[in-house]
Amino acid sequence: MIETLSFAFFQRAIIGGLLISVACGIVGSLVVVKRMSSVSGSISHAAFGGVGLGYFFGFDPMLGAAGFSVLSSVGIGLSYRRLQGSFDTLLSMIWSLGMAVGLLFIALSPGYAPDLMSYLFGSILLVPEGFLWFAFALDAAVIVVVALLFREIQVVVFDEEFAQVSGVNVEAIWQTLLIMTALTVVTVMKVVGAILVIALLTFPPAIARQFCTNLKPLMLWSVLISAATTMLGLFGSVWLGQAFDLQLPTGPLVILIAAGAYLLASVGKWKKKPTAS
Amino acid sequence: MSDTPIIELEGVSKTFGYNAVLEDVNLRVAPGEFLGIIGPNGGGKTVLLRLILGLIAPDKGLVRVLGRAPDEARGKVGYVPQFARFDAEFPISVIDAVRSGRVARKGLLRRFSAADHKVVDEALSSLHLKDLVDRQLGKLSGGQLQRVMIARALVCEPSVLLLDEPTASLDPEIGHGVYELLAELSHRMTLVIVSHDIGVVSGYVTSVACVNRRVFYHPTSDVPRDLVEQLYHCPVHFMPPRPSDLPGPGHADHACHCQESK
Repeated sequence: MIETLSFAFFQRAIIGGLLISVACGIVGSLVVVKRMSSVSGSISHAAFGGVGLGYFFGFDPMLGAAGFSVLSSVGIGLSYRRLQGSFDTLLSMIWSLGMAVGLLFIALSPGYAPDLMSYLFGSILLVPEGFLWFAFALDAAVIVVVALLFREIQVVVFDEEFAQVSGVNVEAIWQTLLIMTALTVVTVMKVVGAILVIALLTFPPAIARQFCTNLKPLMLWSVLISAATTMLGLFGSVWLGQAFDLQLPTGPLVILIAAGAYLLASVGKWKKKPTAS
Repeated sequence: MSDTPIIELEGVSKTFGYNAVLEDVNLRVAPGEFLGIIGPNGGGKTVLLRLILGLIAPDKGLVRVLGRAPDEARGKVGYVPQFARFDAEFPISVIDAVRSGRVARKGLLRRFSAADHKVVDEALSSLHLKDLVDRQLGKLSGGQLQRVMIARALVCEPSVLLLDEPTASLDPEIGHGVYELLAELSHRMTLVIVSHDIGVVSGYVTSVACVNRRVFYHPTSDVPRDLVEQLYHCPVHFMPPRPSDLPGPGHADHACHCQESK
């Protein structure tokens, strides 16, 4: 284990995992309290379409993922108000369309796509240094935006209609939130993959919600829980590999650990309240 | 200025799909009025309210709030939504929820000023919420939650307060308390409340609009019983006694009607 720590790739994985936890915890908290996990699921699967495009045209698939996710988030933001009833349908369409486009273009690309799995299920052990800078910039942007617009964001996620009637520019706040979600999704994708992004985005805040009664502590705790589960998953997968020769992917392990923690937190809360009122 | 109606609807129609929800609606709410919008469920009360709030646009006709288009009157209208319309378990404290009514006014990238804090403070004390400021919304009783929502609307310093079914999910006794509070507020501002419960409403309001696709307006709360029964297709009981000749809007003093009458 100690030896592994000295490898540059492992150090990058640790830093990357910690960096994504910041954006993941903050944005994830908003996703959970606003109940927009299907929106983020839709964005993350749309991102996969960009990955396919990147393969086919030979540019960085991450760039394609970022482009697709931001585009889909803008589309979702624009149609949200106008569609009302059929909004949910639109989300599942974007969701599956993204996957279909991705798979099609990958099939069309010449040769075998060896790291396809890494986009579907993540590969934190393979992150390049450039990714760390991207994650760092995203964290900084998310912190600045949320700090500056905290009250506006709070009123919009709490009660959108009231916010609008009282004169807050709901559409602009929504769009800001969606673009932040899109960029976070692409970054988190690197760790757990397109398919599991929603889990890492929603589990830590769902755990923190069991004991946090305010949005700011909820964000802080979500960041900490997200960092802890990512690290546990990362070290866990290395340890299992070295001690038992079990080669497990880190992403799914992180999700399992987060799910276990959620279960524990729920049971703990449930025990505290013996009789439901 | 004073004779500009607070709310004005002219020939308003709204259709969803093939259903005409509202047809040729005319309504005029004068300053100082306490209007009850009543009618059976599905009769278009909520649609009427959402038109006034500018959350939806009419297919035909004109909606004016304070002489302007509804979305230009934003911030002058205090809105108290139905409980079902927001997440009562949201992680937010009473003080932050009330302050959120002030967010649009403070302006982007600005902090709350001393004046903002003062307005919030006044709203909290006038609704007896001072002891609850740090409580999370989810840990409040129904009556307390309703007071928080009213306080949040009041810190907008509105000219008119619109309430959607303010007592729908409350015990009758607590609902009664909410109406007492509204009666008090009605001396200070124009009030519009939407309710399916005409019996309770009629003891407090100064005028009534009955909505069932069309709107029938009555300048006093003395709605002809046969009209109401026609509207609801069933006999209606008026819970508090109905003073048959109320003084003009704004001066009505009918705060306490405790005994039941028929």
